Amino acid sequence: MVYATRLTRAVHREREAFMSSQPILSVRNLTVVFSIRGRKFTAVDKLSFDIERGETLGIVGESGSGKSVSCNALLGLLPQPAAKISGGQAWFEGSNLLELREKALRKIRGKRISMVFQDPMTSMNPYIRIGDQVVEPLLLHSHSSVAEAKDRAIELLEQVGIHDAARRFDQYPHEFSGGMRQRAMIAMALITAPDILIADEPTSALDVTVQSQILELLKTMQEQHGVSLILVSHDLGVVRRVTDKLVVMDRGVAVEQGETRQVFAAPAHSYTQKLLDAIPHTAKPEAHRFLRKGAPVCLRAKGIKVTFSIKHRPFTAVDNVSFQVRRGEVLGIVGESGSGKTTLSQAILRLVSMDAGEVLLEDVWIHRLRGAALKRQRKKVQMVFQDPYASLNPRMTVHDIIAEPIRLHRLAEGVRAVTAKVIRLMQDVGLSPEWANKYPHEFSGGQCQRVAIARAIAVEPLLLIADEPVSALDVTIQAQVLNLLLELVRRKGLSMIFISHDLAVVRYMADRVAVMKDGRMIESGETETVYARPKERYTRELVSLEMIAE
Amino acid sequence: MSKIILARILQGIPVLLIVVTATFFLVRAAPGGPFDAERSLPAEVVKNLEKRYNLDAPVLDQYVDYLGNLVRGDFGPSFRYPNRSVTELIATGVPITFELAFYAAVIALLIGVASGVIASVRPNSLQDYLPMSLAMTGICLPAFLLGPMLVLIFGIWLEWLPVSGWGYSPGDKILPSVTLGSAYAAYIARLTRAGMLEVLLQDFIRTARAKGLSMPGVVFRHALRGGLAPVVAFSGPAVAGLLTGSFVVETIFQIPGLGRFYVQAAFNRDYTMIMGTTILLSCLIVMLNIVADIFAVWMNPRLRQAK
Amino acid sequence: MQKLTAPENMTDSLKSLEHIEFEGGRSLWNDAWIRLKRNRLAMFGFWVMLFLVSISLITPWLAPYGYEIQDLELGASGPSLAHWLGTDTLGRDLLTRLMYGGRVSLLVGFAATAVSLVVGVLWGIVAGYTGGSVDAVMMRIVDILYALPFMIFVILLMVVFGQSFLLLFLAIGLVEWLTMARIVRGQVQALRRQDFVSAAIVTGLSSGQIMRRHILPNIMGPVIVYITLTIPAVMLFEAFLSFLGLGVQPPQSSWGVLIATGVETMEEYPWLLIFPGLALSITLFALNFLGDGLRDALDPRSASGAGGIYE
Repeated sequence: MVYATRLTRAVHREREAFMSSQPILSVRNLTVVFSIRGRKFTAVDKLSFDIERGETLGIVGESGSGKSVSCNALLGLLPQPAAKISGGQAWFEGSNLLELREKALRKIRGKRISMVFQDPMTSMNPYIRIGDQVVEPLLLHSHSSVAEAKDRAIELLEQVGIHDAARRFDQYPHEFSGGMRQRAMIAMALITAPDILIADEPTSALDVTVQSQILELLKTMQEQHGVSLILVSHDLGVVRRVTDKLVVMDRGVAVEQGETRQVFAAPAHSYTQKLLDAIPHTAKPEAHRFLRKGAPVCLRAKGIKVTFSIKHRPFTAVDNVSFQVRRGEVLGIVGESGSGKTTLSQAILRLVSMDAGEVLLEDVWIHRLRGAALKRQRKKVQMVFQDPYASLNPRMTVHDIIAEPIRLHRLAEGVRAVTAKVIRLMQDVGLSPEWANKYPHEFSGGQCQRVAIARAIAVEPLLLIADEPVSALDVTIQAQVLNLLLELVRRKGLSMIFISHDLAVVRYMADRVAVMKDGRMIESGETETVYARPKERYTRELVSLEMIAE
Repeated sequence: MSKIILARILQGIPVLLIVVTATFFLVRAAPGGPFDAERSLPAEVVKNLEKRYNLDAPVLDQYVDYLGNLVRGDFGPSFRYPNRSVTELIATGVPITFELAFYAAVIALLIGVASGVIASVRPNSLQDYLPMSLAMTGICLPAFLLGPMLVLIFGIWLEWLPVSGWGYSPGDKILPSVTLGSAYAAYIARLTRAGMLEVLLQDFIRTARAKGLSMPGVVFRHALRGGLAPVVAFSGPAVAGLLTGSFVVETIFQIPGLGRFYVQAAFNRDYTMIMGTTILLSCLIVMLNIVADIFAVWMNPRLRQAK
Repeated sequence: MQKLTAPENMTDSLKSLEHIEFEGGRSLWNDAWIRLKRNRLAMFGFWVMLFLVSISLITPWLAPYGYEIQDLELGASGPSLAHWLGTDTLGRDLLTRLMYGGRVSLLVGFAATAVSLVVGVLWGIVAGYTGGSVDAVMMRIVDILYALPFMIFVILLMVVFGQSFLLLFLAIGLVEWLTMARIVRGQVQALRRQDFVSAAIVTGLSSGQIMRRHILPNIMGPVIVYITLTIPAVMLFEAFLSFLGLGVQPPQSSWGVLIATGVETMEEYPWLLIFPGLALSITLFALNFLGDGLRDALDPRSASGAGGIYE
């Protein structure tokens, strides 16, 4: 008996040694072509990579780089009939995945190779209990009974950190938070003990603190279950923390691949370098430092409180917040989603009504103004929003969008003068004036954000409020827009309130920083001081997470 | 859930009251009395008639009386058939109309959902175009056109099926049911297709496919429940449509149901009969709307658990 | 980081205006029109409707006979050179009667839709933009009216107050506005949350200006689609009433009336049923195709344009 066990172990070890000598998945020249309305473009161009058993491979790139498409292609999950695999092989256990018939592929999907998707809110079926969704792959691919499957699922749910799993088994997705759902998704993907787990942006839809937990979990699970992990992400920090190997993709092409450590240490390709440079992990550049202690106060807010009623229950979004912004200063406001930072900015702009509080803009109390008096003060504070497409009226030309505030406040008289001013503003924000008659949908996200900035500065405001102005943009574009904002602030002597969930970005932008949590402003001070010596526990947590990401 | 149901039922009460009140005063406001159409009757006779039908009392009293009678299920006597009460007349028509509407609904649901699902699985293919062209034809061939055509083809030219009646000869229920159900089959097919296409684009469908589920598995286990939501929402208006549609179908096929009574009463200006059928049909529609709403809530776990 | 050009002075900018060659932009309307033109069924619907409306406008000058001219000796006759679509039992020319009937059917369709458009859009915009308790009250009214079985009430109205033409489309219009109000209100609410409306408020625009410049142009799409789908629904309802003898009354005629009389004699003179039936069906087809096409064209994301998940 003992001998037999020893023997099987030996055989097992030998087999494992043999298996590990060749990659579990080997992709060669994968090419995917999309044809949309008669136009063709190559989404993935001759992508090749190998992944060994138990290894973690990262695929990094911006939106549209083809990183998700290539993963979906492996399992035959591409949208039909728009996408077509036009070449290449993907060898998995002696068969080419790309040529398998749907029926054979189904035996691999969810059993040998499983997936975790980006948005846990939409990736689970809202009509089916969590538990039933988790056991589904096991029931489908094995002969285990419902009771066995349920036991296994509960065990696994506990493993991924869902406490009281037996009870939560019968709950529906809407009763789970985003992070919890992503945990359940991971349990669902692991329940059949697959060989490969593909995680497609598994943390991008989550809050920073939750992101880090899920990433940690993925790594532990990968080690515990010995699966190979393919991690797709746009976030270099995420990939750097978890992966052994790395593929960098740009417009469908793998521009660089290699050991993660090596790529980060010495990027060979210029695009990788650009990606690494894109996110400013440094303090504000010296050229833009212009905090003057004695500068007059531009905006002073005192005791702001905003409550909403959600389903007839009062909910305090902003609770007794006070702060001030000096002229020429950039105040950064940091916080996770739901911390009340956006509501605070809307209250200052009078887009939502305050329950309590006072706002002094230069020498005018603006919180009680109405009608024409309010309209006069309006132009002193302008805003740049997160989603550049949503913030521009899709039925107006860029010219009309920028001209609207100019006409309204009579900043130029006559058609030609207005157009001349529009053109000057377009040049100011780095847009070619020839595009004045185009519509927002004809522009990229970054260009639209420039239009929005031009509209905001058209009325020559004193204060600019930028609410997550770059989080909807690709990383390489982000830096351009951030620099444009800093440049404008300096040249025009504006003050700015810069709101973001991203500590690195705020550090790059702000002279002073304020941290918000659950509607309260829990800490504020000069940027470098707060980052170097955070007082509150929450701030410390945020800052340390940021450190790991770097 | 129970709170939502209660709220829906409570909302239905004022609606029913509005229906009854509006009907009553609308009919009372009609220019000319109910007996004006007759060849001029002696004033004495008119007075007697009015007394008999309680028309000489103040309008408000009449209204209160009528409400009181309604609660007891009494719609009053018929103006046209003095010896029979409206309640009796309606009672003979209701089962027939219900049976007709039921068959039509079954036909509409079976054909509509099946063809909508089939079309949605492979959009913009023959499998989509064929059922959807049929559905478009169903929408553009209203019952009053389709009915006579079916009669002409299957009743008169081919002589396969009887051209009129209800329950007198075998097969005489087929043509009316098909005529009434076809337009709704068409609507349901289009709604099902649209709903399914919407759901099939959702992320959780990709999750289901990534688990290795087959196409029928994805469609029936994961997509159908969400995809049928528009159909469930449509079921209230559809019931109303089936009941009003019975006016035409019962007229074409000479079926002694509620719809035919209503149309006849409308021609004969039999006011109590009009009021009775209007109120009854309206109440049915309002109540079935509430049932449909509750069903829609029950289908959605998020709403079902709402406190 | 892009190099920023230093601010030029005003005259420079004015001068440079002459030298700028503006590139043509494509508005969303342009895009939609291009998509619509690619949809052959929708364009078929568009041309059919254009044809029918123009015929209706000049019917009195175009019709071969007067619509009440009888030829009792001839009686019902099949299609011939003198009477292209034949004559009815009183010897009246069917083509003429179809043309005049079409005028009535189309008029009811358009007029009732116009009533619903005006009431519905106003109601929806006010409710959606004002929000709060005003919105709650206005939409509760719509909800209650929605629960009323209106079709039956319209019939009752027609019975009680006689079959007046004006009443007919007023009544139908007053039924259809409910859906219009709901659609518009939903759109306005969604738009109000959009950042470009917030941006307009921050700029200092008044509610009226925002409504006109930012909200209205953006709800036109769904409204147009709903109009194209309401017209056939109204025409169908008119035909339904007329078929029952509760709608348009002789000597006026509509397609519903013609179908009703056609049914009575369909065994002997089937063309009296077939031609009016064809006229109504083709019109309904045309309008529905156009409506579907417009929906796909105006909302590129709409389901029917999307690809499937299975090959």
